[in-house]
Amino acid sequence: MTQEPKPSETIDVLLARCLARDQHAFQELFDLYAAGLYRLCYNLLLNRDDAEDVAQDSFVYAFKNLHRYDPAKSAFKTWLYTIAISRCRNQYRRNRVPLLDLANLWHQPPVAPQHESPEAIYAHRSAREALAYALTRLNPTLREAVVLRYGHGLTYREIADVMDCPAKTAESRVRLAHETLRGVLHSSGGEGLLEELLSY
Amino acid sequence: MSHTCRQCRAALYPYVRRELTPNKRRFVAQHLETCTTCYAEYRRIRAFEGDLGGALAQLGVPSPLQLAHVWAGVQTQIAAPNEGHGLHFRMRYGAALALLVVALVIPWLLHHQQSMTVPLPPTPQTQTQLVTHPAIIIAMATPNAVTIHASAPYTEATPAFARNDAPDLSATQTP
Ligand SMILES: [Zn+2]
Repeated sequence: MTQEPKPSETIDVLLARCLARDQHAFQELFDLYAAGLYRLCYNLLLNRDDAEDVAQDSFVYAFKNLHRYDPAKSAFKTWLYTIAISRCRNQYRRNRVPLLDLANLWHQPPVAPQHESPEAIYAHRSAREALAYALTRLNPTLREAVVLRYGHGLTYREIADVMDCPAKTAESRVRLAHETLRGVLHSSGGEGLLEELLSY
Repeated sequence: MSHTCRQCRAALYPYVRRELTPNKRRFVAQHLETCTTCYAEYRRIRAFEGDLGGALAQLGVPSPLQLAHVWAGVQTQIAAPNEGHGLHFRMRYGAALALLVVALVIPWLLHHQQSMTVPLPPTPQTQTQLVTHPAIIIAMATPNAVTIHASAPYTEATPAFARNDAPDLSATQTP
């Protein structure tokens, strides 16, 4: 795993404590993965309420089924992401069209410094909206691939595990998603806006 | 666009991500040294690659309040172990049990109700007396007898026992 929050030995110890029903261990495990898992859900569902529900449901399932996790097969993060992706798929089957939650984008904690001018804050927000909009233009499979690769730094092998496909397929999905996203952002004038997001 | 440019463009994404074999990588690098249009495309892809990673990492960063909300929900559900499974179990088997009860009880009830609510035949008078008399009920238990059944029309003038079209097994259990 590329971004394991702690050394795997520490994760193993933490998991063992969870299996021994140590309540503090559950909270520690949650603290380690919650932000990443929520962000994954949000990147795929683009709706705050749905992301919260799916993240919560994923943790509950994971905590109740920890005995099923096999460290020999995958990293804990990959296992957790597999659970979340499966629930996201159920959710967008229900929603059909991702409910782009512009209100949430608007109210997200500002990444730009508070002293920035209103124009700068507006530009920043526009960039975020442009990216969220571009993500809705991808089909769910491509969105998952690009989000896992670029948003969460998973390797193709890990993406293949999470998406349950061959690594070559994961790679071609990432490439196709990347090209499509670039095309959408370019045509909507948002490609340059990404730089805006990163300019703080 | 030349054949070499097309080959280079096809390899630009993996080149940016350092996924090419050393030989292929050398080919692309050499071409980028000499071709300004492919080099410009390479710069655009590389910039977008970096921007996309950074921008996606910023999209949907939860606030501490949101995470606290999620954690509260998780705690509530974890505090009731296997509640979901138990609920599903109860619902599934409860429904099956309810169906079984309905399947068994309703026919019995219908039959029972039919037997209980046999309308007293207005005529002939003799028939009413026959069914209410204990001796007649014993007579009904004989193999050739017929019990009172809702489908038997009591308005007929002919005696009910003359009919043999609807034997009632429950009545034949009487010794
Ligand atoms: Zn060229």
